[in-house]
Amino acid sequence: MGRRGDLATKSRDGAVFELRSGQFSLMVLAIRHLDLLQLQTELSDHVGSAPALLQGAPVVLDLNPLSQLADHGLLKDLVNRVHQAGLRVIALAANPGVEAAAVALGLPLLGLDRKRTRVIEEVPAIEAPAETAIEIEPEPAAARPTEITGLQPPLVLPGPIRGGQQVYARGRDLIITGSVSAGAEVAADGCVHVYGRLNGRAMAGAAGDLRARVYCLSFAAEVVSIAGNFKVFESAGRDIAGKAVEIFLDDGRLEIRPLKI
Amino acid sequence: MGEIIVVTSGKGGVGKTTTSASLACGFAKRGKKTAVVDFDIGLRNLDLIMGCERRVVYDFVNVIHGDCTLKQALIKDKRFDNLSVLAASQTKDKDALTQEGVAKVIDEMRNEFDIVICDSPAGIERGAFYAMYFADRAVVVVNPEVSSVRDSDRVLGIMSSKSRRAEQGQTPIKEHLLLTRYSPDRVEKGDMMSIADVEEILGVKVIGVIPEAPEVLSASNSGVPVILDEQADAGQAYVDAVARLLGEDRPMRFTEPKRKGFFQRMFGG
Repeated sequence: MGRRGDLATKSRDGAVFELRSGQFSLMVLAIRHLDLLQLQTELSDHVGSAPALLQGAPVVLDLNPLSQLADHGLLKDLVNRVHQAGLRVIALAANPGVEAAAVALGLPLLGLDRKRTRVIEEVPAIEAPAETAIEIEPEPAAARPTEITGLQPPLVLPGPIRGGQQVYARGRDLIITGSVSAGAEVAADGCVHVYGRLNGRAMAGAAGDLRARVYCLSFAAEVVSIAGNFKVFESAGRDIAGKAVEIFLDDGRLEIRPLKI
Repeated sequence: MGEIIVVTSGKGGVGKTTTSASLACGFAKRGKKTAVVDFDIGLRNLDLIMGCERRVVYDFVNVIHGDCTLKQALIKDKRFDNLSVLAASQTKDKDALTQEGVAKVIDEMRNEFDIVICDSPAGIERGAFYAMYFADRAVVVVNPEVSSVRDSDRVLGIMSSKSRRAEQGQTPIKEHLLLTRYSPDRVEKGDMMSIADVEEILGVKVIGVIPEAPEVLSASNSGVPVILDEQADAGQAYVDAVARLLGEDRPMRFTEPKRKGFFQRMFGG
């Protein structure tokens, strides 16, 4: 019988290490164009404008907005220039194409782990296995559009997600077929869908994807965040409270729009 | 094989022990061989409410430590010979509970009784954890107010993810809500959350509604569980809740404000 949490720590008293999960909020530096000189100049100015906050700050380098993949040399150059501008790259968020280059630079690649979806406090998960999802399509692999090969099945959980529970869908969407209680946290690297009341906290685009969105049938959230842009709702406005809404980033601003159903 | 029912809440003072005592008497009265166990190690109370505090010789922790047998520690109720109480230790603390120890006692009781009621302490620490860990069913006692509802939500979450049934991938613990200290008049005035409010927030159906009544306190003080007071609304509400837990269909009572008589309506009062 497994023991966990506070009960497990007791038996490990005196052990050399303790392995536990932690959550940190990090800045994400998204690269839109591969103009390295301009990047370094602009970034240096930016760091110079708020050195107390930014000098030496750890960042995750997001290469997803780039249409073309950086090769090894280019990636190394890019990381060096970011370092010279004063920031410290601690990981990459990118598609699998740069994996080899990332390994060569000794940087971990985030948002890539496709097999494992971590649920921090275990909720009995009903997960569509990746294999089944692929088998449904009888077409030969070559005939499929290339975008779909990287498609991850969403993490589907029955509600309610209770206060104190945390759920994180790594590298995929999260679908809750029920409500999210006050004090619960639901997060995904993709979109978050709540087919019920959203009372707790919802985080979409947790690895920095600015296109991620949050949907719910009845809005009463405490905090909503998309790619680190968050908003606290001490009380939701009358136009959105209890309504079905869509939440997205519009030029870095968190927008909430009632859904007409 | 007997059924393990945990009575829990998260928040303190909502009526867990009162409910445990009344449900235990109610099941015994309906002919079920019943035991009720106090998991509040160090803050022993159930024996007082059951009126057997002068007869506690051995307790739960003694059984776990092997100082005595389960049979020696069980206190037979004087009113129902098919009802037994296992008291908590007053001198030890919650660290005396171990998973293996609790498992051994609960498994032995499961073979011995039809129904075993585990009276959980408040909080979500060790005592409360072990009270719910082995449960087949849960009666979550909740008062119609926001902090009690939030704590109940947390406890429901822990049960659905950390109980033995959840860990072993069995069917989840069957959850019931028992709303206590309910005052229909105050609900009508809008001062108190309604049954529907609580059900909506927690997403669990209410199995009984116990009205706020002075008889509950006097019953506790005299060591006679309120379910045995057949004149009291609260006692009758517990009888109904026991019947529903046994699968019977009974309409909710005492959930509407009492109608005032003709003269009271004319002249106030």
